[in-house]
Amino acid sequence: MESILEISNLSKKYGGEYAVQNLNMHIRQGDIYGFLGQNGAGETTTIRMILGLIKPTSGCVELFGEPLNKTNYHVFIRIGSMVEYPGAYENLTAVENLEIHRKLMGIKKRESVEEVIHLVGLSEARNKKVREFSLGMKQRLGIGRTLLHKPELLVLDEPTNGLDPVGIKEIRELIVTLAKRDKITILVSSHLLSEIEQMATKIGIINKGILLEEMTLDTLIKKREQHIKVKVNDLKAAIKCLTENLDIKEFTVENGLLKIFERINETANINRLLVTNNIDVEEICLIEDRLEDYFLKRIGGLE
Amino acid sequence: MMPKLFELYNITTTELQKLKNCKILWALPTIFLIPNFLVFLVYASNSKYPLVVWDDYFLTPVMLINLLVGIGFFALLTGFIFSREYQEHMINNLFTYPNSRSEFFVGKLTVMLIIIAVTLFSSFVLSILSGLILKHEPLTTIVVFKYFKAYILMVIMHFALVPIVAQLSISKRNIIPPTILGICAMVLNIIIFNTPLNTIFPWTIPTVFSPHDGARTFTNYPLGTFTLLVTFVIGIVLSLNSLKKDVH
Repeated sequence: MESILEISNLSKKYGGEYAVQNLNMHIRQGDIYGFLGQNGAGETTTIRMILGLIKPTSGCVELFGEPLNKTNYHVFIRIGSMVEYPGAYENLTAVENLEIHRKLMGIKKRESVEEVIHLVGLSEARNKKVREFSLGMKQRLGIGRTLLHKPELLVLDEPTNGLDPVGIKEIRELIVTLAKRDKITILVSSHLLSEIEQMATKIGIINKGILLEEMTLDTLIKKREQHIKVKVNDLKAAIKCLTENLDIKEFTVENGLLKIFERINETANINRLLVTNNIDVEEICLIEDRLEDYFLKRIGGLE
Repeated sequence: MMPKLFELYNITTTELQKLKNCKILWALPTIFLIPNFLVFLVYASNSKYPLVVWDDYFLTPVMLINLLVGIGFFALLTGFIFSREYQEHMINNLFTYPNSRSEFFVGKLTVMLIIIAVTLFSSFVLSILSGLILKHEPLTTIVVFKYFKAYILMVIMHFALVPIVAQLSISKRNIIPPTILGICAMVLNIIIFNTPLNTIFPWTIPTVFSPHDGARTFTNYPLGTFTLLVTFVIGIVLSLNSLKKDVH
């Protein structure tokens, strides 16, 4: 697949401190790249460098196979972006804002404005001034602006900020639809890990300016920790039984619960063994880490 | 060349579009009508002025614009046009269009030139129209042409002061510093106007180079022209330099 974005050894230093350090990122056509990080982890700085808003201290950004520099800004015609704020001219209506964008992007087709207004569900507010918009409506308008010129790469920094749960779901569905239907490659940053989990095909985790991991969602699912949680009437007997019969060594006891980290696929077997040894099993289930737990472990926020 | 010109035209028209419904645009003509209106009122109500003497009738609005109104409000408007992208969080969008940052700068400068020209020529036309309503001496082409030339020169001089103010709004990313600069320039204008420094301080030059009261016997035109030119060039260079900086 065609490479859309290649970042090599990208760094940005402010004073003596690195905001982003030796970051490498690879986004292929059709990826929905979820960029995860806490506040100040460096995801917005990275996005700003990708869009040429910030000059990197060192390293290189390649968009569509071309290195980004101050002379090849024409590459932005292939990119739709929304960084931090869904900016719009508040004295103008939604249509007027998009009309300005259409002209600056050199789009001749006037109907594209109406199409986008409809797509983001702002048809009824099309002639309302943006100053009368709620944050959610502004967010939709911002996303509409990024889509108007039919970009090949969409860069969205916290696109669900300030949206209610319904709005978040709608934006998430829109992103997934765009990627599937229009084959748009998407780079989306978010603190809402559950959101990223539901739409990304590839995930990058950044912490303190360093990209800790970059992997596909499938790999991440495989990497997430699993354990069997068992609640029994006699904990000592259960441990003795499991160690003697199944040679289980990797387990912990927390709050009266037994957590087994091996023989993950043998829940039924473990259950049967305990019951046949006259141990009452009150609860037994397979527990899988959520992406959030995995993320917190990776950035050192969860022991 | 042609596509570049088209792009600049496109940028300029969108810059003009952005001003739609901006309250500051309502303030501007109102403020610029005040000098004309005041002169009209004086001539209409004061028996000391039974007849419009065109040279005098044109002179007062020209002086008021050059000394105070034009300096202050063009600075305010420049501050607004150049800083609003930062203040309204639009700069991220603006700098991710397939145009260079300097093209947007030129677009905004062009808008300022258009506004200055339209405002000043409106004042010129209004002077003629309001004077014609009153009892007046014959309006000769010599006087009209003299002030028409003066107004053209005023457009150029006020425009030359724009980039240095723009630089302040770009570097500070706020409308307040250019507004303060405008107010300070207005005050200093009054102080410096009748001193030998009047062709060194750039904001006094429009007054000194235009028709004005004061029975001046000598005006250092080369120095004034040089000061204005240097102010314009330095303003452009510093503005372009500020535009290149990181956008946070």
